[in-house]
Parts: sequence; structure tokens; C-alpha cells
Amino acid sequence: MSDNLITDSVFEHTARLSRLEIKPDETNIKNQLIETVKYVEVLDELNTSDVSPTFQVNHKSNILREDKVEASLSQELALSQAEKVSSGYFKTTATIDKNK
Amino acid sequence: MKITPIIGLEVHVELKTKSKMFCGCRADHFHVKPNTHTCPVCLGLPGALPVPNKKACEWCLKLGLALNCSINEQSFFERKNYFYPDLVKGYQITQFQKPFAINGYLNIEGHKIRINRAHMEEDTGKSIHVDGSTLLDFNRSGVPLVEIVSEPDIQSAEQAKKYLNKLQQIIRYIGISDADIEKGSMRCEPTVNVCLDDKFYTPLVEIKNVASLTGVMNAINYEIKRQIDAYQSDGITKNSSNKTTRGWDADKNQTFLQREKEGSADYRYFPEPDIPPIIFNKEQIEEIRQSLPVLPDEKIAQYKLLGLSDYDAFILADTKESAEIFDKIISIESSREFAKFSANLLTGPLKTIKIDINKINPDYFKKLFDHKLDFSSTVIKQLILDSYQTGLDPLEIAKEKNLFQVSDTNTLEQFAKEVIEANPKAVEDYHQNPLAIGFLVGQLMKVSKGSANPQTGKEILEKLLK
Amino acid sequence: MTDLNKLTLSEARKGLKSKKFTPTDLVQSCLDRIKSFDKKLNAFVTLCDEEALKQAKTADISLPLGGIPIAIKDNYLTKGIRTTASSLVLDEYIAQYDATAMKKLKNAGAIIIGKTNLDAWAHGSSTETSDYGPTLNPWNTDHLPGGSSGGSAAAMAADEAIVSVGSETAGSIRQPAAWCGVVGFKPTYGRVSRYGIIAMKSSTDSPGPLCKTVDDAATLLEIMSGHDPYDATSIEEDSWKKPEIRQNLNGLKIGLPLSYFPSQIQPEVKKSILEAAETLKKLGAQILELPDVLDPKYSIAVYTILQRSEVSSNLARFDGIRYGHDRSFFGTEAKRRIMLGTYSLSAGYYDAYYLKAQKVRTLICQDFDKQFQKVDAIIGPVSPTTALKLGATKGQAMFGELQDMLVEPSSIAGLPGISIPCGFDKTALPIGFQIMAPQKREDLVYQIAKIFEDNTDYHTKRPKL
Repeated sequence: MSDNLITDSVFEHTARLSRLEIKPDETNIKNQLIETVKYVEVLDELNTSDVSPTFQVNHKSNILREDKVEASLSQELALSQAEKVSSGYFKTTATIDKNK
Repeated sequence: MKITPIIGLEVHVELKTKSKMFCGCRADHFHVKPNTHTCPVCLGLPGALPVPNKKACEWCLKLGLALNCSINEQSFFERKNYFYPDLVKGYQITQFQKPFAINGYLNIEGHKIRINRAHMEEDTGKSIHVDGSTLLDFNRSGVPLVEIVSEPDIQSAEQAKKYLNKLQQIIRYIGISDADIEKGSMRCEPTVNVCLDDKFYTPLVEIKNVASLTGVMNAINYEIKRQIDAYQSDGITKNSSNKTTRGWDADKNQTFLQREKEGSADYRYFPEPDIPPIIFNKEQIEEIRQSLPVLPDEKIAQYKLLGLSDYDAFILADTKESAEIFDKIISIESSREFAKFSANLLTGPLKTIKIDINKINPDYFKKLFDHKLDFSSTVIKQLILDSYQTGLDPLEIAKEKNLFQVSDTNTLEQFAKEVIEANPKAVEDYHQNPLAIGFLVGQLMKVSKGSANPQTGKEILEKLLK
Repeated sequence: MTDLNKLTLSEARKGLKSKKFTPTDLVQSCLDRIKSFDKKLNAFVTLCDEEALKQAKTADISLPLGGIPIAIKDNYLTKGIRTTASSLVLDEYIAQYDATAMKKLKNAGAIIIGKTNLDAWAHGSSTETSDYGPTLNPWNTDHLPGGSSGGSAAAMAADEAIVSVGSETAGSIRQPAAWCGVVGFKPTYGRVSRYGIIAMKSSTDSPGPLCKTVDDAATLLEIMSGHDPYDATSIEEDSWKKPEIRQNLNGLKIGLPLSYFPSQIQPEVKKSILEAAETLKKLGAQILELPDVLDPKYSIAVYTILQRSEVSSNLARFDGIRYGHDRSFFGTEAKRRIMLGTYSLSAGYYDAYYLKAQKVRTLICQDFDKQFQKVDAIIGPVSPTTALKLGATKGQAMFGELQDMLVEPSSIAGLPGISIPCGFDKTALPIGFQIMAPQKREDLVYQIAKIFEDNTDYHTKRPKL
């Protein structure tokens, strides 16, 4: 990890990837981000070249379920918390680029 | 200018499991009322957690093995993070670093097309765009998909079609999906570029929204031409950041730019913390391999060894069902002659009807085979059809309808004499031109109501007319 | 009847069974308490008074929690009841299903008295970053109750309910318990199902009880725990069962890590912990100093990266389409965390940050394995200080993660831990110490905590409200 200075464009790109709008009174988030990134560089003090990562702390594997059908939510309950619905569909006017 | 198209195919196959990939909702979503097969998991409600479908994983392995892949003994799921209204969690659970199956291939007419991977993931919901809004149905959200990615080894649109046909055939043979491109249970995305004069490579283009096999071919061909034209006009070659996505418009028969990719989208993959890794040991993989049916290519080879023509072998091995029917029939006798005989009937008179294997009685085929000299080939065809449709013994039917072919010389001589007497002009024609015997044989068949053996009948006529 | 709200679970159960009072009396007493004090304390986001009184009327007291009012941290999905995670994004969200842990508590007869406040999305160690305003510490309302389960901890300290539940990702049960002078029991990761708990850091989130006594917490853990087929990370065992109480701690080796006493530790906190160690020694335990425990500072970095990365992904589902408001309703702390998370997972940075952190995680786990070769359990302070003042979190880039340095290592390793009261500082703010054990050894945690509690009376103290 080198001395990562998070540029404005990196910051904006990160905000875009996060689908967040950083408001004018929140611009100190950028400096806080830099501060946090600098802090975590303390991990460079530890040699991990021979260490494998731990993604699962309780060492489980092969937790699979049988191909059985279970009850679904009713259409009414599924739609009940949406701001906009139409004839059984969720409705949105959000124009989000398909970032696939 | 030497033109070498370079084509890779990414295929998504919807598995026909009963339940979804990570929850117990019904996986079928055709003609179902919207948002009636959802639950906290596939709706992405706060707090919901995924648990993988065992059968789906096994089927993915099966497909990987059928595609000559190696199986990763340890694999895991990862999150692919991006935003889209039809993606309920804001990430798709898929596989990235360690997919179930890797490094396979398919042989398409002697050309090897390598398969990079076959992995497991979940489908998104469906969006319908209407009047500036988007309507969303999440019945499809979470349905199991296997993604199969080929290397860019495909050399033409025609070859791409053959590859897809092969893939489709294998998938249906294994019985894990309907693999119907029109219905969307098999989706294809070609990535195309062109090498010109063995030197210059046009930029990569991924083509989306191809909804049929013809569409795949047309889109690829269109793209190849478009890229050549574009290169000739702007000279731009492929680099690591100019891959684009284009959509196929089937009405206009052209691709159109959808989006410039900024390098590649940053999906921020990381291992799925909610799902522990999947470990398949050698025994389990072997067990799954054993459960594979004999696959089409091997089936065709088997049939050819039995003496079947390429054509017959290809037709009979086309689907698992058709192969099973043929196998059921020849199980009663192992001779090559019987195999060919049965094959002819299946690819001939029985080709046009949808056969129910339960109504196939191998005995009946054997009986007809044993008596094949008693009937003309036309009669045999009719008999097998009648027998299938009625379920009755074909010999009984023949007896009833008096269809046994007459080869007895005396009877045939009677008929021949009748024909000679009734057709003096034809007899004269014959003396001028021996090929005119055909007409007289025809009359013999008529007079005998089709029961005469035409070969024997011809010989007798010729003898009498000498 | 007055003061029924001050009963412990054991006492309340006894009283109900011997018909000294009814469930309605019990619920009413808690509601009266909430009415008198919660406007100030702000421990509750949603009050379920009508429903609670209705349920009290038909409560079945033969059930283990029959008739008992419980406060639920507002990141548990409670079907039909508003569930907000203390964020305005979910301000109007009515949960469409019950969390598994919630179902278990309901089936045991518990009556939900309300949903308690937390740092929005559980992002914090103060409950100051709730979108509904901070909860105040009942011991001194100029101070914070800790977090993120600050609402539940305060509700216990203020006797606004008989029992409560919270969740810990790294400190969110133990730390508020310590700052509020109550018992907070964080189980082994996977012991209690996470299904239906709004996810923060999926690989360490551990729902668990905050109660007035060790026994109360253990009883709740028995009920909440057990394998859940809907949570692929849940331990494949039946519910945890309370072990026999020990008469003494003879034969047990308890470790005291020197690195858990950083230079910035409040002297009274240090003194209290060392006194607690002495008490355990008097009870028969052998106390061993552990000089080479991995410095907790690494855990801060590991936790910050991993937690914020998982947070950035776990909060992606909140797009306002199927439920809740859109992403513009996220508070600043949430945005901070999401940004760091997205950044550390980004192309080019994954190896340096996320992967590196997971490797150091291995070192932390290995370190605990090594220490547990020498000792059976490890004790230490929960927090370097007692409850900080309101406003302490303002403008801080990493407040939560820095505060929780002494509980992050054990959370990262998925270990069980408890925080129990062991003293007060000179301003009468509570001090708690923690007992940690290897994975699945809640029995040891319980036994050590129980005998300590039986031989001290800190847990009986309550703030004057």
C-alpha cells in the first residue's frame, strides 16, 4: 500500500459506484476517507506472505438445501412496503444505468 | 484482405429445478402472476440470507463434466456488486475466482472450442419498460443459472450456431434445462472482433439482446462486417479499454451502441460471507460423472459402429428421448441388420409423429424384421405406423388386411399372365426397350393389390416374355 | 404494583408463576417507567404499548418467557412492527417477516414492549449516530450509553423492560453493557441465527442478549440459539444449554493480556479490571499474564476494512424500490462507511486492503488459538474508558472502530464473550469487564461470569433516575 492520496476523481468514482450523493456539507468525508485509509496501512507491519485468508471463521462447508418448494410471500405482502406499485408490479422511475 | 473472425460465446442456462437457487420459492416463472413466487431472500428484504440449492450445484457439476471440464474440488460463491432495479440485493451471488467447473471443450466438426468455465449464479428479476417507468416482477429473481463461457475460439457465425446447438443438445440430454432460446431459458451473448491480415485486431464488442439462434448468426455476421468497415474508416485497433457493448435490433437487423465500458465495470467481487465454501471430493465427482447419460457424440459413434448411416445415427441421437426409443427397440436383438431396419423405420414413417416410448413394443419391430421378405417396403412402413397407433401386433394387422406379400411363383405367374394379356402395347414396348418392364411391374402390383413381391414379379414377367 | 419493572427475569418468572402479579401488571409497570423517563432517555424508537398490553392479557406463563416484556434492538425484523435500524431510510418500514431469533423469543412467550434505538445500521459504539437522536446513559444523561445496542443497554439500566436483545458485530453488545452497568452476552458467531437481523458485517454479526443478570442472559441465549436452516453460517447444534454452576474456579487458568491495557486506558478502569482478576483468583482461578497477545491495533484496521467492505455491499439493497426510502436518506456515518468499503473492494485495491485484512484475520485467530493453549479463558477491560460524553463522536473518522479495539479481536475470531459490571469510576459511571473463551465455549464464559456475579453486588446497582 503506497501513499494513496484519494483524488477528487477517485472520490467521485467511489461515490458513483456506491450510488451515494455526497452533499456539500459532507465533503469532509473525503478527508476522513483519506485518514481511515492511512490508518489501516498499519497492517503493512505484518508479514502475511505465507498466510491464507480466513473468509469463514467457523470453518463450515457444504451447507446446501434440498430442492424443495416452500411457501412464498403473498403478492400483497411482497408489495406492501413499496412506495409505488402497479397491477402487481413494483414500479420505479429511477433511471439507473445498467452497470453490468 | 485476410479476415479472421474471433468469436466467443457467453451462455446462460436456466436450470429447471423445483425451487430457486438460494431459497425455497418456486423456480418456474412463466405465465405466473407477478411477484407471487417471492420471499425475503429473493426479494432482497433486510436481514434475509441465502442457502444454496444442492440439486442446482450438482447439475452445474454434471454440465461441467459433460463439457469435459475439470471440477474444482473446493469452490465458493462471490458477490458481484452493481446497481440495477431488477437486482434486489444490489449484488448478484455468483462465482468468480473458484467456479465449479473450468477448462473444458466442445468439438464442433473437428474444431475444438475451449470452454473457460461453467459456474453457478442467480437470475435477476424481470423489468418491463412502460411510459418512462419500469415495472418489476421478481418471480425470476433467484432462479438458478449456469453460465458457460467459451474462449474466443469460434471462427464464424455458422460455427457459433453449431456450438450453441451442441450445447443445447447436451443440456437437454442431461435433462437439467429446457434450454429454449426463444423462451429465455438459454441466453447467448457473443463477443466479436476481427483479425485483419493476421496483424490488426478490431476492438472487442459484446452483443446483447439476441433472442434466437438466427439472431445470433445475423448479429455476428453484421458485427463482423461493421467492424471491418469501421476499421477501414478509422483504423482503431483493440486495446485493453475499448471493449464496448452493443445491442442487437432484430427488426432493423443491426447492432447499436449501448454503452461505452469504462475499462471494465468494477464489480468489487469478494467471497460471499453468508455461504460457506463447497467441497466436492473425488468420490462425489465420480458419482456425478457416473450419473451422466451417454452423450450425443458418443451415442452417434455407438450407432455408427452398429452400421447405421451418418444421417440415421445423427437423427436418432438427436435427443435423449429419441435415443432411448431406438435403444429400447434394439435391446431385443443385437444384429446390425435389425438395427438398420429399425433405424429406417424410425427415421422414415415414424419420424413425423411424436413417439411415446411407452407405446413402443420392440417385439413388433422384431416380428416385422423377421418377416420382412413377406412384405413390400411400402407395406412395412404402413404396418409399423398402424401398429404404433393401434398398439396391435403388426402381423395380425397384416393378416387381417391380407397384406402378406406374395412371392409364391405360381400365384405370381397367374398375375403376370393376366398383366401380359391385358397390356399388349406395353409388351411390345418392352420388346423394343427392356426398361419398359417398369410399367408392367406396376400393373402387376396393381393387380395383386400391392401384395406382390416386385423383384420376384419382375423376374417372372421377364421369364414369361422371353 | 410498583417497581415490578425492576425485577430480573428470574424474579419476574417466580412472581408470575406464584401469581404474586400478572403479566399485565408487569407490562404496565414497564410502560409506566418508559412513559416517565424515555422521553429524555430516548431508548425506544417504537413503542408497542397497545399490542403489549393486549398480549399480556392472554399470556401463557407456562412458557419460559411467558408474560415477560422484552425490548428488541431495532435491527431485528419483527413482523408487522416498524423496523428502522434507526435510519430514516427505513423510517416507515413495517417488517414483512420475523427474524428467526425473534420467532424463538415469541414462541417462548416474550411480549415485545418496543424496539430500541441503535447507531443507525449498527454503525457505531455510542448510539449517537442514530437518525432518531442519541440515547442517553441512565447513569448520567450527559453521557452516551455506548453502542450500537445502546437503546437496549439503557433500557436495562433504566428498568424499562425485564430483558432485552441486541447484536454485536464487534463490541455492540459488550461495550454498551459495560457503559450502562448491565450484562451483555455475545455468543459464538453462528450460535444465534442471523436470519432476519439487518446485516452489518455478515462474517461477524452475532445477535445476543443484554440483561440485568448473567442467568437472565444465559436463559435468553438458550432460547435464541440453535441451528437455523435459513442461515448457512449457523452452528449445526441444537440450542445451547446452561451448564452446572461452578462452586469455585479451581483448576481454571484465566489469562490477562497485557496489550489490552493500552496507555490511554482510564486508570479507574484498569484498577477495576485488576480487582476483578483478584476476585477470580480468590475464587480459585489461576490468573496468568499474557505478554505476547497480538496488539489490538491490528484488529482495528482489520475490522475497519472488512466491516466497511461488507457494509458497502450489505447496504446496496436499500434502493427505495421494494421498501424504504431512497439512498439520499442515508446519514453521514453510513455514507462514510459505505465509501471506505467500496474503496477497499475496488479494482486495484482489493489485494492491498480486503485480502490483506483477511490474512491478518488468520493471524488474529491463530493468536487466540495459541493463547488458549495456555489458558482456558481470557479477561480484560471492555472499553478503555467509561461512558464518554455526548458529542464525543462528532467529526470522528473512525470513532466506533477505535473505541472497540478491545473487543474487535474476539469478534473477528468469532469467539463468545460477556461483559459484566465490576465497578464504578469516581463519577459513578459503570465499569465492565469481559470474559472471552474459545469458540463454542459459552459454558466457560457463563460459569466464570456467574460465580463472579454471585460474589459481588455491582450488578444490583441501578442509576437514580
